[in-house]
Amino acid sequence: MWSMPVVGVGAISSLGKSWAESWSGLLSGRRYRVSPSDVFPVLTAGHHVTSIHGIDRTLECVNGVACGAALRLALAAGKEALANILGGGEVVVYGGSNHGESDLVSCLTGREEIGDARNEAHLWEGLLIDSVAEGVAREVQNSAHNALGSWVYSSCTSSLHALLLAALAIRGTPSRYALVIGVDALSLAGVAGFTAAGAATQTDCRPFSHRRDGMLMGEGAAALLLRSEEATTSESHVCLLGAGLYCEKHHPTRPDPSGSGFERAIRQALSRASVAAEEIAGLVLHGTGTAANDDAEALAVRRVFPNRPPATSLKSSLGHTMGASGLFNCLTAFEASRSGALPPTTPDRETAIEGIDLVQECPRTVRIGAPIVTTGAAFGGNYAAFVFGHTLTER
Amino acid sequence: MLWLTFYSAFYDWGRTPLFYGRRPLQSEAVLRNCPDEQRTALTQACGVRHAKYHTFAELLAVTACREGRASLPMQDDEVGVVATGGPLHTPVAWDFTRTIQRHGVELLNPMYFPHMLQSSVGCTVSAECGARAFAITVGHSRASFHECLVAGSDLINSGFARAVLIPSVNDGGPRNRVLHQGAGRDGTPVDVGLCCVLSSVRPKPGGVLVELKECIMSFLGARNCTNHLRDAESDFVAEHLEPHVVQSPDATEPLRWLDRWDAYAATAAVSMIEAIAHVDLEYAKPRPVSVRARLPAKSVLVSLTVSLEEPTGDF
Repeated sequence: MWSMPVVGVGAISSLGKSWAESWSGLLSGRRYRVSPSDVFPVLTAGHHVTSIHGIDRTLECVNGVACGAALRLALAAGKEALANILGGGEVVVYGGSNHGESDLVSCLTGREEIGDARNEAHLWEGLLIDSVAEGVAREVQNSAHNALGSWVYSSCTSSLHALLLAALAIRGTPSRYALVIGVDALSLAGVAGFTAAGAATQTDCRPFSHRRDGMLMGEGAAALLLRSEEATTSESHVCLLGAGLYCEKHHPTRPDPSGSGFERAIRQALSRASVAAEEIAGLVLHGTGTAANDDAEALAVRRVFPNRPPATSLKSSLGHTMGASGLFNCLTAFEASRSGALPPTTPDRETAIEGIDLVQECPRTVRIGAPIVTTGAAFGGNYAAFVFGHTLTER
Repeated sequence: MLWLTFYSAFYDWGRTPLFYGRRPLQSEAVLRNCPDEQRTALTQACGVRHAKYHTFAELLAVTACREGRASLPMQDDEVGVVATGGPLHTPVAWDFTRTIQRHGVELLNPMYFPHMLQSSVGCTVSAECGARAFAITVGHSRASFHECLVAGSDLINSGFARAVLIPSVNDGGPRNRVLHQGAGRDGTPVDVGLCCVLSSVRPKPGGVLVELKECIMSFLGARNCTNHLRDAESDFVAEHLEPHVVQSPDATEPLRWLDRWDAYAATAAVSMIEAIAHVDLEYAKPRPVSVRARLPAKSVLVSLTVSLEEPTGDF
């Protein structure tokens, strides 16, 4: 069992400019939606997306690095998570993103079409080195004790893989901190791709509902600060207790309908955390709102958790924040265990898939410190599951 | 203990590991500036279903990793992938985005969609080669291959896998040449299709045996705010090898190819192969080799022990 305390969180999302605002929005079921054409005028198809109000989407050159919406989001969330760090200690930064600063591609393809791309060396360079990773690296190295560990690209499990690598990097080393950032801004190709694939909702995103018809694209950044387990304290903390991974072959974009990928990742995480399925007080599920994902995930949940713990998904409120979505789930699992409230999936009551005790309309109370499981899945068949809660001696 | 073996998509010896026997290793074994007709041939020969939707980087990675995977006597869920290279996605992402801008969503082919992401290389290797433990892609700095070794050894030592395939690939094709020129970089992007197998199971006897002794990511003190990721190669050159185990008196010689070619994140993998190839080996005399990638903010030190073993049987 691991026992790495979560000692800081940060977020910026369509629900607020901080984790406190985002959490408050999740508990109240608030939503902020716009038409895709409001963000990308070239897009005329698609129902709606969640968007961060007032976000600066311009691409500019800052200290020789292309800086756009994704980098700004990553830095905002990261700084919030670091705000409460006490004392010294080295902070190693890990990050994950689905598509990086993807506006670079659309900007350069557009300029190339009109023969105006030659004088934009910093934009081309931003694609070669990934300006989000480069920008975060430069920002964190300004501080005497911080440095970028690695930047991970694993589609929608990017930030979960980053979290795992960060945890392994500081494990067993006293007084070390790992800051994990997951980020993605809305991208033209992403919104268009999911629309073309028929995966975007045409009505409203309703994860695990019988009426669900697709996912809702979103954007945001989440950040989580972990401390190595040896740094003891009298304070009771919600900890990262365990993790599980799996990668299946079934299809490049769809999960195995049996839910075996989810199941293997969850069982592995429970085993590493030394927590029995019956002890789990809540689930923060991937729950995209697509027919394929939610059916498969629900099957896995039914098999692993016969006692049906309350389950929620953030995708109706936050939208699918791609590479950041897994870390948003982790922040929610952490906050649910810390505060004892599991936010609702939707503000209205829906008929849920059989076997899922879906939290709807209002938050559900869970025992403070109780272990919460969170899941994530991605293109290419990647699955990840994490367990957060108090350690056994504190529960 | 962990061992490293390497396989190349361009190597003509089939399943033979790169260091088998004492054959001289040339950089051409892992680097190639493929003409267009060779790209087509490699694409057709790779045996990947729906290959036309994939990036060339994916196909290079699968070709190399298929050989690497075949060397591992393990179940699929005991093997993971930690991929690097880059940029891995730009040719498909470029065409995909241009189609949207020219024609709207209606003419998009969603089959291309997952291949316009950096993660496509790791996931395609996982699917095609049988590696189910995980498929992680680590970002494309010059030190990324070393970061993959750190991540891979951490994952193996923590029980997430018994072996990890580390594809380090670069697509030196037309689109990435445009990127390279647009950024005003020197040299020419070169094709690299390399698989490093990091395994807790000792490879079959015969040829060069590489043991990973230590893999440490450490962080430096005061730092300057300059080209964090781009300038890693400068210290590859300076600190590359322990001089006493290098055959050549010039320790920087293994990296001379960087004067002409640019392999981005695959650079470190190629450099490590060349470093090992320059060690003056004798049978039953293990030699230490240290390869350090140092960036303005951190350094990644990889310590190896390289030895030569008598082959016992045919490949």
